[in-house]
Amino acid sequence: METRTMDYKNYRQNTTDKKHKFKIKYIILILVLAIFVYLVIRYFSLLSAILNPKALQSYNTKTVNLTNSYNLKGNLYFVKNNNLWDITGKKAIQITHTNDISDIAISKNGKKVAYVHFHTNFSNLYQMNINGTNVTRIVNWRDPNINNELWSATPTYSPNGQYIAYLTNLEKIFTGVHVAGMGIFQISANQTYLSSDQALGPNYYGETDLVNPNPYTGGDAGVTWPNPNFILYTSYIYWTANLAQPDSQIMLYDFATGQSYPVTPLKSEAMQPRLSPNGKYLAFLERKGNNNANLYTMKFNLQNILTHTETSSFNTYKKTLQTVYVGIESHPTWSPSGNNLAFMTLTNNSFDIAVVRVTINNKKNNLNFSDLQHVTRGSTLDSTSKMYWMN
Amino acid sequence: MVIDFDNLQHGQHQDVQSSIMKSPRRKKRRWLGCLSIFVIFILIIFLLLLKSGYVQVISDLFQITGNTIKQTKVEQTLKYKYDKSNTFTNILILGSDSDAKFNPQHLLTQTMMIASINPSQKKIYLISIPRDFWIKIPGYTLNGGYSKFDTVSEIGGIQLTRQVVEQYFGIRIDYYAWIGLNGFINVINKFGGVYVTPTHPVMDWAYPNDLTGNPQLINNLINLYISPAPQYMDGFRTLEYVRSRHGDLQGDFGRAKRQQQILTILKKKLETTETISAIPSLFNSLTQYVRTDMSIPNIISLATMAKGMGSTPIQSIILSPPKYSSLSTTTNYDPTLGQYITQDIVEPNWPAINNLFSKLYGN
Repeated sequence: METRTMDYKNYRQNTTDKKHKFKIKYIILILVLAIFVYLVIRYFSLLSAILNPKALQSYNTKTVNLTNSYNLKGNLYFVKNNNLWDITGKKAIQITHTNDISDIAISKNGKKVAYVHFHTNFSNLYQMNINGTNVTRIVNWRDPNINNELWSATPTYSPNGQYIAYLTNLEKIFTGVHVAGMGIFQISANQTYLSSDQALGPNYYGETDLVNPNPYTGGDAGVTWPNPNFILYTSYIYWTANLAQPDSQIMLYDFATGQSYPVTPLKSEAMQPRLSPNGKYLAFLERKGNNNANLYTMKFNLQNILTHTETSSFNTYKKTLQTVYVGIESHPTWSPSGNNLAFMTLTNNSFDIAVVRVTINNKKNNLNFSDLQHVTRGSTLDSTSKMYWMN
Repeated sequence: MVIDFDNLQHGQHQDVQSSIMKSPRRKKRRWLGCLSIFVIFILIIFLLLLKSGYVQVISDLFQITGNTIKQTKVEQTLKYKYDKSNTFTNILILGSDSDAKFNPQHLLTQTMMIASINPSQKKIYLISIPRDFWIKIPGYTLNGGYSKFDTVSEIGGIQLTRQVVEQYFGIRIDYYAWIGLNGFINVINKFGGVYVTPTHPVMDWAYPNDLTGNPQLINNLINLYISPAPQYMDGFRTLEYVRSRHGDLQGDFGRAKRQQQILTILKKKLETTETISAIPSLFNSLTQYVRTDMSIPNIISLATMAKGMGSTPIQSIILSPPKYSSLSTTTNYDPTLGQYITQDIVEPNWPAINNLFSKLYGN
C-alpha cells in the first residue's frame, strides 16, 4: 500500500514537473517568437525607419556656422532669416535683428544697403546704413492712392550710388493691364517716401521706366548695375511660336540707346548675371534639367553685345562658356580683386557659401577654377537674396 | 476509475498518463493554456509596437488607404487599347481645389495626372491632362453631354473620373490617389520642404486665399510673387508655386509643368532613408486630406519598385497645344445662370494623343 502511495506521488510529481517544463517551453517559444517578429519588423527598412524616426534637417537655424578653414578678406554680405549678415576674416556678424530684409543691394562705397520688405500682397523698398541704422522707406506700394498693391524687388545701386534700379509691376496701375512680370525702374537713392497725396502719374516716385516686360514675356529679374553705361538683367520669355517651354536669357540695357541686347542666346536658360570687377568676365547660372542651376562663366565683350548679331555675341558665349560648379547654386559674386568667386550652393539640404579661386590661364586664354572651399556649412542661408563681396 | 499501479506493465504507465491528459478536463485546460499563451504573445507584440508608435501609424494608414471604389459596368466590359499585357502600373493622381468649397465626394479636380511605372522596362511616365479638355461625359445631359475634364469628378466622383480616363486614353487605371490642398502642404512639410529652381518668376494677381480657415475669406484673392532664384520652399510656398496660374502666360499648362517639376523632386526625396523616417508623422497628418484605393502592401511594393528604379528619369508630358490639343472657345446655355456663356476650352487632338499613348504603352 505504501509502495502504491509512493508510486502515485512520484507519478504526480513527474507529471507536475513535465507540465511545468511544458509551460516553460511554451513561454520560451513565445518570447523567441515575439523577439523574432519584432526583429523582422525592425529589419524591414520601411518599418525600421518608422521605429527610428530621425529629423530631416537638424541645422541650427539661428547662427551661421563657419568652417574655420577659410579666412575671408574683406566683407561678404548676405541674408539669413531676413536679417543682414557679414562674414569678415573668420567671423560671422549679424548686423540686423528685424527679420524683414530681403533682396539686398550694397552701394559701391559700401556705406548704404537697399533692401525689400515683403508683405502679403505687396513689398516696399528701403534703404539703410551698412550698420543697420537710419532706415528710410523709398517706395510704399501700399499707398491709398493706388488701387492695387504692387511689388518691388531686386534693387541695385548705380556705380555712383545716386540711383537705384529695381523691379516693379508699376505699369499695372497706369495701363490697367495685368503684366505677368516686372519691369525695371530707376529711382533716386536720395529720396525718402513721399506723402500719399502726391499726384498719381507715370513717375509716381520720380521713377524712370527703363525696361518694360514685353507682351508674352515672363518679366525680368536679377538686376545688376556694374557700369554707368549699362544694366545687366535676366529676361524670362515663353509661349512664343518657337518656345514651348519657359526660357530665360541674360540681357544688357544700354543707357545710351535705351535698347536691350541679348548677352546669352535663347534656350540657354541663363540667369543671375554678375560681372567681374575688371569687366572682362561674366559669372551666371544656367537652369539645367528639371531643377539644377549650374554656375558658369563667359567672356564679356561689350562691343560684340552692342553690335549684336547671332554670330558675334553668341559666338563669345559659345566659345568661352566654362563650367564652374554643377548642382543647385545661387547668386555668384566676385571678390573685389576678381581672384575669387563666391556663390551659394545647396549641400545637405542647406544653402551655404562656397568660394573658388580664379586665375587666368594665359596659354588657353580662359579661367582656371581651383581650391574650392566651403565658408559656411548647415547655415540655411537665404538663396533668393544677392551676396556682395566688398573691400 | 481505479488504477492498479502495482500491476501496470511496461509501457502502460504512459498510456495511463496520456489517457489522463487526453481527458476532457485536461483538454480544456490545455486549450485555455494555449489561448492565454497566444493572448500574451499578441500583447507583447502590441506593447512593443505601441511603444514605437507603429499602432497609431497603422491606424492612420488605414484611413488613407483601401478606399476602394467599385468598377463601373462600362469599366468591367472595357477593352483597353494599350498595354494589353499589363506591364505598367498606372495611378491616376487627382488634386482638388479648396476642400471647403465643394462636396468632398464631388470635387472639382484642378490637377489630373497619370503616373505610370514599368520596372522591367525601366520606364516612368507623368502625363498631365489639361483641366479644360472639352470632352463628352457619359450620363451628362447639358451642352449635348460635353463639359470640361475637371468637372467629371464633380459630376460622378472618382468612379466616373477613372472610367472616363480609361475610356479616352485606352489604358487601365490600377489605382487612384486623391490629395487636397492641406494634404499637399502637409506632404511637403513632412518631407522637410523642397529645394526648387523655379522655371520663371511667379506673379499672380488673383491667387485664392482660401486656406486661412476663415469661411468669409474662401473667395478672397491675394497678390502672389515668387522670386525665380533657386530656393527652399515649405509646404505652403510649394502649394503657391504649383497652384498659381493667373500670372502664368501658359496658364494651366505652365502650372502642370511646375507640378511635374515638384513631383520629380519628390521622387528623388523618396529615395532617401530620411524621408522614409518621416512616414509616421506623415500618415498621422494626412488622414483628412489624402485618399487612395491602394492597400498598404501595394504602397510598400510601389515604394520598393520606385526605389529600385532610382536613376530612371521621369518622362514628363503635358497634353498641351499645339501638338496634343488646341485652344478654343465654346458658347453654351447655362440653366443655372439662365443665359448663354462663352468659356475657354482646350480641344483634344485625339489622333495625336492616341499616337502618343500607342508609342508610350504599346498595344
